[in-house]
Amino acid sequence: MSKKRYCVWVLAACLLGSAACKKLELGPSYQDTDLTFWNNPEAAAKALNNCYAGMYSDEYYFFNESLSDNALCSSSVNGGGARSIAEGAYDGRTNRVAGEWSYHFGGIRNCNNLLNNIDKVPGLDEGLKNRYIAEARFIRAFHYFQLMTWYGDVPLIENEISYEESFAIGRTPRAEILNYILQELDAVAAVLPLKQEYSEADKGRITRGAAAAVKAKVLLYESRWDEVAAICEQFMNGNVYGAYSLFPDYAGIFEPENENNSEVILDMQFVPVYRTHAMQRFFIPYTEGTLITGMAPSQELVDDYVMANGKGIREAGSGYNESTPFQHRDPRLEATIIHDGSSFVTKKGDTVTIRTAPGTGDNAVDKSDASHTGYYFRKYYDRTADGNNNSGLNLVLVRYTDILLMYAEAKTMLGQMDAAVWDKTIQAIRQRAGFTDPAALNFTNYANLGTTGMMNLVRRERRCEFALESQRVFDIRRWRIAETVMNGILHGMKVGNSYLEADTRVFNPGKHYLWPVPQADIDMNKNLLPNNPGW
Amino acid sequence: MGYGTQKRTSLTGAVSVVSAKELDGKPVTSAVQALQGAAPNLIIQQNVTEPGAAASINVRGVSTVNNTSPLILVDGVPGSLELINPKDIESISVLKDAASSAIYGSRAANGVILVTTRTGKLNKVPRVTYSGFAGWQQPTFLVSPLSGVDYMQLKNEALVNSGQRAQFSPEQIRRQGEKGSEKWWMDEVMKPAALQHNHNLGVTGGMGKVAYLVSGGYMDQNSLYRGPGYGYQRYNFRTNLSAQLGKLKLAGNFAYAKQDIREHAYFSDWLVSTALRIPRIYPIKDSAGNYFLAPTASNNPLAQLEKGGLRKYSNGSYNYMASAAYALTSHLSAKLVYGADIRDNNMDEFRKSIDYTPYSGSDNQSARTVNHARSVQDNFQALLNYEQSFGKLHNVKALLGYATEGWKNEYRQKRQINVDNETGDSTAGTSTLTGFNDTYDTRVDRWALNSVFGRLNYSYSDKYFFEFNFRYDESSRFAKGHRGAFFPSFSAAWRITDEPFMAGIRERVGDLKLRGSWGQLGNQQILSNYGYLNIYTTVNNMYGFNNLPQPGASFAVGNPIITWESASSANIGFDLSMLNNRLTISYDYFRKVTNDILLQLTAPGLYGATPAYQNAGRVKNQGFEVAVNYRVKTGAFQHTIGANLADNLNEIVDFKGRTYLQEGDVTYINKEGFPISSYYGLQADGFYQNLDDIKNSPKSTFVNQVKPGDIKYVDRNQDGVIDNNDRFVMGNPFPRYTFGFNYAVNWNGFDASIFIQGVGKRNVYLRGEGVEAFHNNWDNVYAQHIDRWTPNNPDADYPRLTIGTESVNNGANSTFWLFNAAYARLKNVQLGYTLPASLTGKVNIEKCRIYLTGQNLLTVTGMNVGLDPEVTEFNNSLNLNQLSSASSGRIYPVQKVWAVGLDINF
Repeated sequence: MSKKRYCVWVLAACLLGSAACKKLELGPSYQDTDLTFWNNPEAAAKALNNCYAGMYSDEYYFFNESLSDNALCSSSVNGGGARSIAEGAYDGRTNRVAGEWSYHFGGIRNCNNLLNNIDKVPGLDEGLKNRYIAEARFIRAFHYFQLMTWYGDVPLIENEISYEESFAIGRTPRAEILNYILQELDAVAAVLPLKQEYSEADKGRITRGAAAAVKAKVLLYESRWDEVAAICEQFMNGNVYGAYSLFPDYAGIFEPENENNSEVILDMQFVPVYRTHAMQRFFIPYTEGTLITGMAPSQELVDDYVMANGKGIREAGSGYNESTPFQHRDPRLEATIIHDGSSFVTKKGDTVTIRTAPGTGDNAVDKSDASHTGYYFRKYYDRTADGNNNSGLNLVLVRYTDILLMYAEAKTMLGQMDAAVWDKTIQAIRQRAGFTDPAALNFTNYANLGTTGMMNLVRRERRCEFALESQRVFDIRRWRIAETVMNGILHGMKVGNSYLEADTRVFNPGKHYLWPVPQADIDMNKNLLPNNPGW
Repeated sequence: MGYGTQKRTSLTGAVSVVSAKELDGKPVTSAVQALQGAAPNLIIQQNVTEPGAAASINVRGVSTVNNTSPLILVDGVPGSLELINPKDIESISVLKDAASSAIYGSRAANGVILVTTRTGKLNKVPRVTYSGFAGWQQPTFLVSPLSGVDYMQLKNEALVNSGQRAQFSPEQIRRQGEKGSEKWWMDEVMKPAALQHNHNLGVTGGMGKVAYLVSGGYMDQNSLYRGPGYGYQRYNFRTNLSAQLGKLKLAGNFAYAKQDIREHAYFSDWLVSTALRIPRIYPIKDSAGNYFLAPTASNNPLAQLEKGGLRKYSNGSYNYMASAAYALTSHLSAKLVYGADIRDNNMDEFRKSIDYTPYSGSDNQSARTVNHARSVQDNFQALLNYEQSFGKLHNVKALLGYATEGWKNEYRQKRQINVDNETGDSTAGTSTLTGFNDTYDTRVDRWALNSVFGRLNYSYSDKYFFEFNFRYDESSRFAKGHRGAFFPSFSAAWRITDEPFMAGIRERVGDLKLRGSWGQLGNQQILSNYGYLNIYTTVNNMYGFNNLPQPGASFAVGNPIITWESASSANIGFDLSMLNNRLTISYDYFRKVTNDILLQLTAPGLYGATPAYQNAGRVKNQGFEVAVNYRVKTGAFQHTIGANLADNLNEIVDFKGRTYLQEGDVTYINKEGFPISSYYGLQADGFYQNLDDIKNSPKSTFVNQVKPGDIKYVDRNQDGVIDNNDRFVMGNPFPRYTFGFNYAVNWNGFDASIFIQGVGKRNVYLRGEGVEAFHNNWDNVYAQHIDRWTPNNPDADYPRLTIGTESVNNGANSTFWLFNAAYARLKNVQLGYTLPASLTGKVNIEKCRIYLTGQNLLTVTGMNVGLDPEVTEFNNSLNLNQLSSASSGRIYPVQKVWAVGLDINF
């Protein structure tokens, strides 16, 4: 064969080959890359929505209750090991302890990513851009508030840190984190719109009121009573933070038809079908939750609800009768808790009586997958949830009642509780809850309690008002009463002559007021040492 | 060998060949299952044995944490061992070292499996073959449930041990004893036996200048689950054509395979875990015939099987290969090959709402998921082959090639809830779920590779052999500037006994060939096709305001400078042939170091994201393979014995000094100096025997109190307390010392064979309800827990029974739950008879063999806790992001199969 034919063949082969040569610049058809994403005018809104979605966890929100004396987590796996934490048997590897840390730093990175890139977004209105920035900074500050509360000193990260930096960064003293949070909240409050300034479609966004209310809460956790009172007064006596008022129906605050009601200051927004949480299955009656009842109210919580006359059940003249324990009680008890004999409307619309006494069926306390205390939660039960209990019900993080109770607490601690403060706070809250007995409503009956007595009254009011709203665990820790209420037996309903012993809790005050920095982070970054005291 | 063929005598690399004969007669559903144990260091693990599930394949173990699947080529084109009809296979070559696989450089780092299919022969009369078998599969349960009364007593004991009240009164226990135990739920959800049969018909021959093979196959494996017609069917069709037209040789292969899988609409691990853990005091249906819901379950597995709907897979596969070769001169030829592998996969899952009245159960929402995926992997090659001898002694062969390969996957999905519970159609109340992974229109993913490669062979006097290979690849998985990589390899062989000075040895011992090779291979198969880019994913309902869903975008961090992993691999070996080739021994030793492993190195939680891939690790893997074959005739008996043994052990050499711990029910560690994904935990040291024992032992920091009968741990760092710092690397989850043994004998038309396969060493960490009594407050407790610690039984196997948080001490990650899963399995036994040709010849039958065959008949293992020793939570890649729950016993049981078969050749 001639050399010429050779070459023809070789050439032909090469031509065919190069014709079939594959292109190597490939990207996904359904995702964006760094280069394309920020060129999109919608990019800022989309990235911000991601920050909103990661602001707080529905699982933490509910299972926080079982980290307190309000509820029992009956399973060793639900709630990230909430039961073990309540029993003092946990460490830096426990899911919740390790997970909460990563959760917040993940949320912080999302905010930082938006803040670093928002200038690239074309055609973004300056006002809108400033608002987006303020919303993201608020969410970041909220993460730091949570981190500081659980872990004390934490790394302060205001940028998208590199992989290498994450192995070197140390912890910033708690006091600096606190200042940072307060400054950030002040800064964003100046930019954020008031609730009523947002359009209908923007309901649920972070407002100036939310920034101020969270700031009040941060200060409350620091016992900075003067400053707490000052912020609360601005809420109560004017409109600088927006128009808020008590919603007339206590139970209605938590029902789907009343989402975004007049009392909501900050919440996690959910949308039926499209963005849902499935948490209620853990705490509503087993027959309606249909999976293991992971969390149940304690007898201690039930017992702390006062009588309709305002007296504690063990107080002289309360009229409490142990054989009819649910009669003449604070109306919020029935609105919050389901007990043996409670009436309940199923998702299908049938009104049934829930029986929890031993031997009474699927909801009974002796059925191993049912409530181990004989109680269920009613609050936050969403009848419109789907068959698998996926619910679109918003979860409230701060509501106006909190402003009132923060005010009441601050004034009490300042020794300034008087009839005027009482009437605007405790009385208003109790009236709204459905109390009618003047004995429970009028300050004159409580004027002689003294600071400690009044403090205990306000604390109990908080507990009952906010049960299942992710408040109690933080309250018992800031009040430094966890070592008392979280040590020993947690009880369930009365069976026979005694109350069920549902759990044994352990709280070591030298150690458990702060969680440890997660073991995995300590393993990789020695600059996080020393770990918190006792860990 | 790659892009050509080579005589065994001139091979310089490490190659194992499995012939069709070794696959014959095994009642398996895929070629992969038949290959288990057939070649040394071809490691096949069946972690799921449900009909239609794929087994995992490794060659020479694991040397990266990324994809470790070998490259599988059917007639030179990417294909699948699961889909191919085993009866179409002529031979399978496993290319193990760098020299033999280097020509596939880019994707050969994990070895290459070459499947050659049968072809017809020119000028032969048509030969028709039928082969088939039919038989029964039976589940092999290894866990033994307790009687109802035993369960009640042990539950009471566990509760009391845990400071709780006993659940069952003496009266209840007495009544249960009178009533007897209910049937075990596993027996209620599984049939005692299920049918499996397989039929193949093929014609080969030649007509004029065309040689052909046409074959069809049908395989039907019924599921062991009760319920409406669950099972797996596969249809295969193949036609292989080749034509010699003067200097031009044309060939075209086409294979079609269809898989139809019908299974229940749930996850088998959940379904099995429920069935496993219900004690025998509860019937699966109550006296009124309602599906019963036991106290620790909100669903009923039998109801899910019988009333819960159906998941259907309908998968079509089209495998094409067309080639044209032209002899340009007597020494030089050119060849063009085009191949394509097209997969058309469809899934339709319809989960029905189950009404558990009068009980309250979950499963009360109907849902339908339908998805389609179509992938095309195509491949074009242009090759030039040169071959010439100079004088009598010098032989030269050369190959130069170009290849381009691409993969494109188009897929879409729809998920709806509250569909019509009978038809699955949408109705008034139906909602379409719009999450990122719920419903989406067509999405496209791709990758592509362009390569040039070449090979040079030189041999002198058929005594010295040299080979050089190279390949240059560019991959779309990396950014421009980091795409290309060059992979060379060298190898040599020396038939030493052909030397005059070895003549005496040759006479007395036999032929000996020494081989050696070194080469580099690449790997680019990381999980992400676009790992070099920051990826933003938009989700339609990321958040919502005022009950209107809002789109949001999450991001994943990319790394623009990632590039190829490269594995340097050295191999030495020998082939010894004695007794006139009746005894052959092959041995290979290999050492492979993979550099620049693409890792998502772990980051502290405060990093706030999943770290990007980086070329960060180095893993060493070494081992050996030995294979012995012996044929002998004693009288009228013809014996064949084959045995193989192999080992591989990987070690992380460089991990940038980092340690990665994946904490959880099982804790894994990646750390320099230890195998990939090792188990990590405390060292168990018997049980606390009494209070003094507890007082005199180091105190545990993670529990408030231990009691006699609890597991005691070793204070390895001797700081006086038992805590996380006492943990150590306790085991390697990858099989070592894998072996296969077969013996076959023929006598006057009768034949018998046995095949044994096994693993000499493997650690498996078992967890969950399969091994832990009363795991997670459930009711599971088995016969193996009877021997638990009590003051009267201090030498127990199992600690004192506890439940709930009382189990925290004993449930800690420790060697107590670590087992050696070594086993030997009687994989196959056959007994056959071939009718005398004198008889069958009269009816024009060339050969007729009937046989009885059994699969998985017997397993010997030291792991006596009721789980199959082959269970592993890993797939073939030891990747910690892809773990299954198999190691907690939540698996479809391994089947034992008995079948009769028939082979007829006309």
